[in-house]
Amino acid sequence: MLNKLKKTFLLIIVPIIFLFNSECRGQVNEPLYNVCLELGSGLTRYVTSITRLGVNKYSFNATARIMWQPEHLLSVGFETGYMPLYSIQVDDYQSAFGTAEVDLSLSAIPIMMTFGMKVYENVKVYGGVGGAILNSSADFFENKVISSSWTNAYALGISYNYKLNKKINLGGEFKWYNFSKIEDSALLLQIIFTYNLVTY
Amino acid sequence: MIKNKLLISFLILIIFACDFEVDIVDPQFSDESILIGTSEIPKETKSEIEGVYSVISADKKFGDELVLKWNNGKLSVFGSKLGVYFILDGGIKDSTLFFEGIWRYALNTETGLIRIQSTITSNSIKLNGLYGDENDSPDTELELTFERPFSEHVLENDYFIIAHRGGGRNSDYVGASENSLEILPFAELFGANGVEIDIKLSKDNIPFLYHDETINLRVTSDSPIWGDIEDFTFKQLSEFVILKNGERIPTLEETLNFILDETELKFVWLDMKSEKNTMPAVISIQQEILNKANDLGRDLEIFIGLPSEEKRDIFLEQNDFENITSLCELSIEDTRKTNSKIWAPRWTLGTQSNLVDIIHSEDRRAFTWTLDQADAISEFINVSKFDGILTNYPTIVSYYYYAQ
Repeated sequence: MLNKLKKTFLLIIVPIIFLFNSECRGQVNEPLYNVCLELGSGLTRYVTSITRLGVNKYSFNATARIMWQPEHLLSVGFETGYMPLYSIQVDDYQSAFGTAEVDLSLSAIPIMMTFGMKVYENVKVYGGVGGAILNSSADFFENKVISSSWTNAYALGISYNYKLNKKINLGGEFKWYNFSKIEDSALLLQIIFTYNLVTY
Repeated sequence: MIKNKLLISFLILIIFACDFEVDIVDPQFSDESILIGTSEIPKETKSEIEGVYSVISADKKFGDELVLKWNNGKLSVFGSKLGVYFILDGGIKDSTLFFEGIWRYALNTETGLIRIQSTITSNSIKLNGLYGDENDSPDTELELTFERPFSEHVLENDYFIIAHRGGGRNSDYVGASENSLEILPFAELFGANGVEIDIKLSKDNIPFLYHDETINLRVTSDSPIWGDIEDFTFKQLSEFVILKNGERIPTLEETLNFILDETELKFVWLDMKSEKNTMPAVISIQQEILNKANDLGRDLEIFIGLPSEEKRDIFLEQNDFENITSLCELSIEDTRKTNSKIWAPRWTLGTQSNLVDIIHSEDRRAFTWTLDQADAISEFINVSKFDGILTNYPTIVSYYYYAQ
């Protein structure tokens, strides 16, 4: 019950806090509205209680985000991507049923509404709510099972952006995703490439 | 201003990131057992102390009345307040009985240690002792006075108290998972004489115990595989799926063998939860274990549950289905059609005394499910003519049954 409350709080209240934090962009005297495409790639560290078998919790990820930046500090957008969460590959797994090759993996495709807010000149914080498609593959003991399922998920992140020119920013981002169904998290460290698609 | 709000946001996030999972306490005595040096309590003394007791002290912690009943070598105590129960080991030394163990509420996580002793005199039985909370040394006084033995109706009646999913929801608090081998001995200590278990079929056609469609965190923990549980072979499940409290998923065959060899349970309700046609594999195991029980002279009944029309139709396609013991959750007509020896309607349909009379007149029995509310349990035991109750709270059913 309390965990449910905790999640509800994170999913609803925190974005609202961010929303109230938004202040009129006009004060900063920056122009107009932007639509940006933000592409990120980097390292994922899966945070899990699974310890058996020497789980590989590190992998490379890729995410894409489209953000609408109005004249306020708050921006709103949509994020997706691909992040392998863990993999287990053992050639000679010893079990009560004999030796076997084991190949297991779990990956996520997040589908989230994202809120971003500029807190310093080059620093933004992000919060995301939505879900993710979890893709699981298990191949061992001569039976391969592939399955997909939906999970609620939320994310928090902080990024630093350096403006290369009017259209392009380059930066880094640190993100935390939480997946309700598996009660595990992923930490992402990414290089972010931002391209200003439209200014109006 | 923004920085302050941001700081507050992150502080709130940190606070709410704390884990609020309920910790289940398994109380343990830190000092020497009072049972050291005692011998086993004679059978006649055991039956002498079974009965209904009034609670003289104990700050109403355990209500006004408790039932004492031996179950598989341990003394179980049942009360109506929050489904309270004690599970006690006992011994005798110099004509004094000693008991120690735990008390626990079935409806919340409160628990503690308890020690009591009794000297039986010719005209009264009194038990005096101490209890405490969680792992604290027992220090609060408790006194139980024998009021009456079990009624003749209770002693003569063959009533069935059936624990849901192998043990009922008490499993959340005793550290044994639903549908595991480990929960089955608890079912007996909770006063149940039967269990209901959920049956699935693995990809390699092995019936096993599991309730849900998928591998999920409600019933498993730390599993590296996900998906529909029936897509996996039993080898795969056995190797990589661990139940909530660390147990392995058991096959139906090993479960029934365990019930036969390790418990005194006398009734098993097989709830056919599979999306596949499990009937042939399950019937074959049912017959094998029933034959074994018969050879051992063991009083054990195993019933195939027919919860839906789909399962009923599959059952009707089986060879010699009339002679396969089954339990029908549908109408009386369906019960006749499948020649089920038990009719099992949902409890919310009421006590249905007229229909139960009809079923009894056809030499069949009537059970109801899944009854968890104390007032309804009391009504079904005291007013209805049902022969058994499937419940998540066998301790509460036990209290109301034995206190009649």
